[in-house]
Amino acid sequence: MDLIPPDATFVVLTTITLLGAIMALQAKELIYGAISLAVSFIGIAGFFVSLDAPYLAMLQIAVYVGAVVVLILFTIMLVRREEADKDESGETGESAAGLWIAGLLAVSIAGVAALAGPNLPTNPPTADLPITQLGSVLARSYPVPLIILALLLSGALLGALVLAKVDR
Amino acid sequence: MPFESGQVPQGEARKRIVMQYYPYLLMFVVFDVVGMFLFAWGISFRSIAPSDSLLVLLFLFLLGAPLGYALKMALHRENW
Amino acid sequence: MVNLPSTPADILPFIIAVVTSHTFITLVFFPGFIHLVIVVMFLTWYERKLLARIQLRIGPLYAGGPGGILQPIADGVKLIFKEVMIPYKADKPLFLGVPLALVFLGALPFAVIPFGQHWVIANLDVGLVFIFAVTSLFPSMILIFAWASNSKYPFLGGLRSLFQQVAYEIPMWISALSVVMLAGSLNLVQIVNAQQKIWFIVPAFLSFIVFFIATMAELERLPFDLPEAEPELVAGWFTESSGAIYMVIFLALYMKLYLMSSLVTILFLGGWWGPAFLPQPVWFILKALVVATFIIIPRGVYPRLRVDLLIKIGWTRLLIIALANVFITVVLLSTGVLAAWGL
Repeated sequence: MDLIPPDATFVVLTTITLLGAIMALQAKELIYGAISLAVSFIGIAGFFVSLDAPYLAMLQIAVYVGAVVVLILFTIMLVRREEADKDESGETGESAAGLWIAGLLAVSIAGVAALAGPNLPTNPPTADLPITQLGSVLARSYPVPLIILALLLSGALLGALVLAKVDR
Repeated sequence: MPFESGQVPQGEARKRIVMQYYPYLLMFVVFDVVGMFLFAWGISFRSIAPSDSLLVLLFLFLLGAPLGYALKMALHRENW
Repeated sequence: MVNLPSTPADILPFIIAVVTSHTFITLVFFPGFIHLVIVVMFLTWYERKLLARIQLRIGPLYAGGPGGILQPIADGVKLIFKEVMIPYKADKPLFLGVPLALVFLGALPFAVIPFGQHWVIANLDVGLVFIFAVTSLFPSMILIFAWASNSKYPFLGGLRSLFQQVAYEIPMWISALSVVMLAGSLNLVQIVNAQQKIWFIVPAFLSFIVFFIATMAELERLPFDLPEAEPELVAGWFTESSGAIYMVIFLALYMKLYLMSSLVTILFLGGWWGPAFLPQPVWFILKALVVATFIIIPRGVYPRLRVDLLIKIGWTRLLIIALANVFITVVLLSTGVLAAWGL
């Protein structure tokens, strides 16, 4: 069995992403959690860059770190302090459940990899679409997803607005 | 001590914020994504067939009505 | 690539090779670190002099040199020695860390801005989108900083600043879309090279207007000054910053001014193209300074806009004009009117 040895870029990016995600869940102050989440998103953008998809990385930073994190911060600031400071973790045995599920996942991935044997891919997949063709492929080969995307975005926007409205 | 024009500061500093401009934030999230897709189209505009460009313009046009409606909802500031 | 030194005798040639390499020169001297600091300091003096002349005053005069040109250095020294006051129960790591992050994010896009055909540190193929992605991180940092200073005025100012900057990002992107369609690339060097025969301000004039107004709003300059409204919010989201923190934020704001002016010249004013009696980077900096002048002048002239009107204008009028220009560009390009200029 031929495993791909992880190189330095992969290790660094994985550390950043996972640490950011863990800190986002464990942080005492919610704002620190939101910042760690932003760091985690930047780590994912780094993954996109290492996989030869720089445009997607920029989209990730602009949309996730630029807009979604702002929305999360805004929501955090809306929450009253007494509710946010209550610390209920540890009561429902969630750490044990998390470890158990992580262990099952690791065992199943290792099992699948062992069973696949020589059919494992030895090169990481890279996007072989240069950026100049990204738009043309999008418009030519994926017309239906584009229209569905427009409808989906409209639905999400209007739905969120209607839900958050307060009729006075 | 926090600065409040020379008076003694009163009240909790991080009060609840007014949600008056919340719909603009939601619109920003959605149109951020739309903008990035449009950049992808803009690069290849000259090398694709006009029918494909028309498709992207249709995509933009389909988002026009929700944009208008969202703006109308946003302008009624008393609802937030 | 240079070989790493393996014996002590190799160290000196290694250092010489690194120092004279193109990357090092562009990174440190021009258009990198030293040039950035010098121009930003010059811009602070320039703004004060310009506003002073508009308001029939003289401006900085005594700090040394002709016309007080060493004033920024005097300001820097003064601010370093001031006491950094952290408000009661403010969030210390955020309060001290966010200004540094702001300066970092303000300087980072300069790695992709070309000052001449070969004067660019990293010519990314996605350069324009990189700049937009990095500048979209500013509103969240300002919000965090405003929250971290545990005080009402900065918080309100931070919120208003967030909504204002967020409202003008989209018109900025859509007006840049017209330029991208005309040039056919996101690569900043290619965008400037496509303007050899005609500057993009001519076919995309409406986009230029929208982009310019959106730039003034992103930089929080008058007439979009409400997050900094002096009679109302003292100094907006950086009310509580003093001393070195204020200096760092000040630097970040002026770096952003220079960045946006450079972006306007790249996208609309033909970058570094000009008659050959001056070298290319000089043309670029001259054009950027002209744009900066036109951004600074309204500060001494116009009254301030109310914040909800401001946000409304960004989302309704400017967005419509930018979209109209995209349609105009589509029509211009499909009918081949611009073929005479190579577009």
